[in-house]
Amino acid sequence: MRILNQIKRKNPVETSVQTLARKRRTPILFFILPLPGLIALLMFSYLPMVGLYIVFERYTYQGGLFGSEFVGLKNFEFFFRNMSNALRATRNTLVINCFSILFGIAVNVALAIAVNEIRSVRFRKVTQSIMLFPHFISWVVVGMVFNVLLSEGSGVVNRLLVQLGMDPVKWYTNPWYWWPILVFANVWKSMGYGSLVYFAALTGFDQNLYEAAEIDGASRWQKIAKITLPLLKPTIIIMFLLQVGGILGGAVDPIMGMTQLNPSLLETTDTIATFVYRSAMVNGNFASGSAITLYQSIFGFLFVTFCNWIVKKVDPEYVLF
Amino acid sequence: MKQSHSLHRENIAACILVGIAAFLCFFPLWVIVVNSFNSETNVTLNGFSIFPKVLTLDSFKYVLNNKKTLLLRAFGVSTVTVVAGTIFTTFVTICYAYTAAQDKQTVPFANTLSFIAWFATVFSGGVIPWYILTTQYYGLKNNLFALFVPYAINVFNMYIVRSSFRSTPRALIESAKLDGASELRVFLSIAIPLSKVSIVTIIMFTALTYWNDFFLSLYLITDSALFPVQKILYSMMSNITFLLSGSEATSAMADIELPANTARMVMTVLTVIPIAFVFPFVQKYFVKGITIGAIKG
Repeated sequence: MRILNQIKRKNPVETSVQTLARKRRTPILFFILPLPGLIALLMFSYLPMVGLYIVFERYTYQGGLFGSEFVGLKNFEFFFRNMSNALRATRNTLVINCFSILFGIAVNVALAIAVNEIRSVRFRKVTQSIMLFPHFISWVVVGMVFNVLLSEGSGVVNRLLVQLGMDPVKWYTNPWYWWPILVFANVWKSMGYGSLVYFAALTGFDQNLYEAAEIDGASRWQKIAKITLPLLKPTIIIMFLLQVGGILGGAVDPIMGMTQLNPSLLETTDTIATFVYRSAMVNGNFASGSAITLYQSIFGFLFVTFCNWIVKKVDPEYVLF
Repeated sequence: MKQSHSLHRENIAACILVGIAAFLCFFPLWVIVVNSFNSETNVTLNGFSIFPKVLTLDSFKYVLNNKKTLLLRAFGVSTVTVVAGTIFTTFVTICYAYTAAQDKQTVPFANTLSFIAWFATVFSGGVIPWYILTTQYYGLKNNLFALFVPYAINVFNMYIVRSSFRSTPRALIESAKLDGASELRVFLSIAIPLSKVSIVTIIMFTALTYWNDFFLSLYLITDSALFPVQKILYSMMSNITFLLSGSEATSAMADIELPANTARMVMTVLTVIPIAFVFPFVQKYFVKGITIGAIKG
């Protein structure tokens, strides 16, 4: 009996050695574990791609996604009739996102380097915590925050302007203030998060490089320009690509949180995402909205490909594809 | 001596720059908190204050007394979403990441899994097919499941945990297997405890995502009884007068109509308070966890 037990206990050892020696078979566990994730990706990412078929049909609730009447390219009529709106949305998406990403990178890298220069650990920790907080609040709250600052009658900014003897600014009436406001809000919200990522990368750099540069008589600015920035390049590229990917998510929250789709601001704040939302959900017209959705997908894909091309020029090691 | 002097000077410039940035982040939130204690008449007369001139709990009392059911329901919905959603998403994401982290010999399709997840972030079918499938085919409309099931897997978080699983010492896993541990046991007793930091990080990220989420309730929830706090706050901001059928829903919507400025501030503060409470913990894991994912990604 004892021998039998010993054999039993030894058995798994032998078999695992055997399987190591032989060609390994994939344990069943690894077929089960990814299943929920695969199903979720299929349901919420891949089937919607197939569902783009909707652009070729006149969608009805009864017919559903794949049984509605096939109408060919008719839906694009709406798209071309609304060409000016689509172009406006494209322009706004590009302007707001490109400037947010570029200013964001500049501000975050500068802050990370500045934070790294600070010797007082307590001051550094406190400021980093404060800067990080906006990252964790929702865009609806951010919208409320900016409302308190910019509100026309009782907003803090306008009251300061009046006290300084200037005219109050009608922030919520003139759309042309809103590109800078939205870019500022984007940078403001991601400042702490972004600078923290760059700061963490900075602290991992080889300090010998800096010591060697110091011995050679390099100034602080020279060290930043010749050592820190080149070493930060991979992190900058990764953050850039992550943010570009974020644009595709078609987030409506920043615009909706900040402007509540205020009609008088649509000229500069109507992005592709909100354009889709307005055509489909507010006007309830899925068929016409679908052409815009296809446009959104293609535009997003082209934009990522373009950014990928830029990265390829800068540093081929980090390309997405 | 000279060098330490120049070092000192640079230090001040850096301190000023970071100080200004921190002030810019702090100031707007400060204004919100100050004005939640302000009186409505003072705001109408003098606008939002920067310094607390009037300190009163009137707005808090007003909101907590008159909107009790509305608030309790909204915070209830949000809390249920956060708890259920975080457990669900973390489970799905970890399981997926663990398989994707295996080497080619064990799981030949590991890289395919990573690719499938990544491709979903680069190309999307857009929100309309997603909306039709989700509401019409999966039945995720106006129920609590609609508030978390569509976020079942988060690809970015999956990458964070995957890179952490990949750095689990191989020797440890091999020796456990030699001792007779099954793959499941290795996963539960070795891989997960060793990746604790990353997992706690994504748990916190996921919880915050759910608390702050506005997208799902915007598209999938029209029944005001199921509005989470973010959507209530949004409705208060835009003062949209909804025309809803169903007596219960209509009366709840009538409750949301709060023109009062200070009441909005109170609602904002109440929405942010839970975040402020978990913030210190989140922050502790933030640096450790996020940098792994962002840099080794």
